[in-house]
Amino acid sequence: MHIKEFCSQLENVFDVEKNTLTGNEHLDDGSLMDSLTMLAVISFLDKEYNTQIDPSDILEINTINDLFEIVCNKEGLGNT
Amino acid sequence: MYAEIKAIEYYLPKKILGNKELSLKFPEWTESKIKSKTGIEQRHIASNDECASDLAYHAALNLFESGHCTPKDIDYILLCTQSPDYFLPTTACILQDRLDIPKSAGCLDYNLGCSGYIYGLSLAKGLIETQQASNVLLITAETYSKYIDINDVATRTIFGDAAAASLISTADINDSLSIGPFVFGTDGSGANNLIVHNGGMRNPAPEEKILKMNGPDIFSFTIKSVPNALNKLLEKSSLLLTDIDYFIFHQANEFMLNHLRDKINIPESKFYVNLSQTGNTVSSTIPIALKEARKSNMINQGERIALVGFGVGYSWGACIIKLN
Repeated sequence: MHIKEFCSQLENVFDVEKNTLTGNEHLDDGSLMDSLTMLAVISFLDKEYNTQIDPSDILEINTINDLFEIVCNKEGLGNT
Repeated sequence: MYAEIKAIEYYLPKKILGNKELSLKFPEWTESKIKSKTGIEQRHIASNDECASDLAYHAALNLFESGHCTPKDIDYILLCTQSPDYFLPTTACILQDRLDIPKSAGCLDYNLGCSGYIYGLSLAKGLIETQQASNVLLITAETYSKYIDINDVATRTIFGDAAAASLISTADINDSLSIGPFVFGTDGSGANNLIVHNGGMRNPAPEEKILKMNGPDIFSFTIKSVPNALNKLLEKSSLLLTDIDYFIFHQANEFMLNHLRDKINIPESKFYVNLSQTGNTVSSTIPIALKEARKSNMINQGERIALVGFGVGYSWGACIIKLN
């Protein structure tokens, strides 16, 4: 899986314009992640990657790249 | 001798809190955003002088007026609430007197939230099938609105007040599968994620009793526990998912329900989602859903229905029932 593909999927989850996320965005940026979006992210990861991530895991990380790494590690997908 | 659900009625307080009023208070939450995120358009809110016993009383009156039983027939009251009128006595005792239910009846409250109806069915089944009772009045009654911070958009948009009254009696047809089997689960490590900290003996300080909810953690718990509970229930029943005619889960919010339905692969036509007019009424969502689904012929006589309750505690339970 590639970070670009992951970002593209997250653009739907975060309801932001296409091709705007790069992976470097900070998740604790209030405009990106409120409590409802957190639910949407957990739901997305469970549905798309069968990966159940605790909210505390998300709170501990900084960027979308970090989230991508967690998913890759949990799924053994390997990141590029 | 087996137990069955004979009848269900419910009661909603008159006062309504709509999305329009909420969006005026929380401008970043438009009416349509609240509806699309929660599936809720309005919720009923108990008035200041209206308590759990009042809602329970009216729900029980509706049950008696339905003609399935009279107060004299009831020999046990099980009342599920987390917002009792008083610390003591139990709300069930108050209700016994108010409804003129015989003094020979057993009455008790139990403190559970969204799993409460499943546990109540289990207790009622036990009482009837061991011949300790013949007609159990199972009440779920909640006024969470009294715990809600008016500035907390997350809880205010979701919860509504209600009570439901179910008559669980000795079955007319000897069917061991009228109620049950059951599976249960508990994980108290999640206690802090839906909690009213103050007011009990641990924190008796006179601060306001405010409901605190950690939505993401509860969601995370739910997507792990509910599919597991359902799988265990099917295994225990020697049934497949396709053997179940209809699924009624605790109506927490539409987002969560849709996620669970997708995850478990339940066809949309067999899955109940309807909380737009009531909101999440805690332990009453399942009996209200059962009543409404039966009324609109979504479920029919003799069909296998899977019920799953989950939430505060954490506590969860699931069972299979048939409505005859």
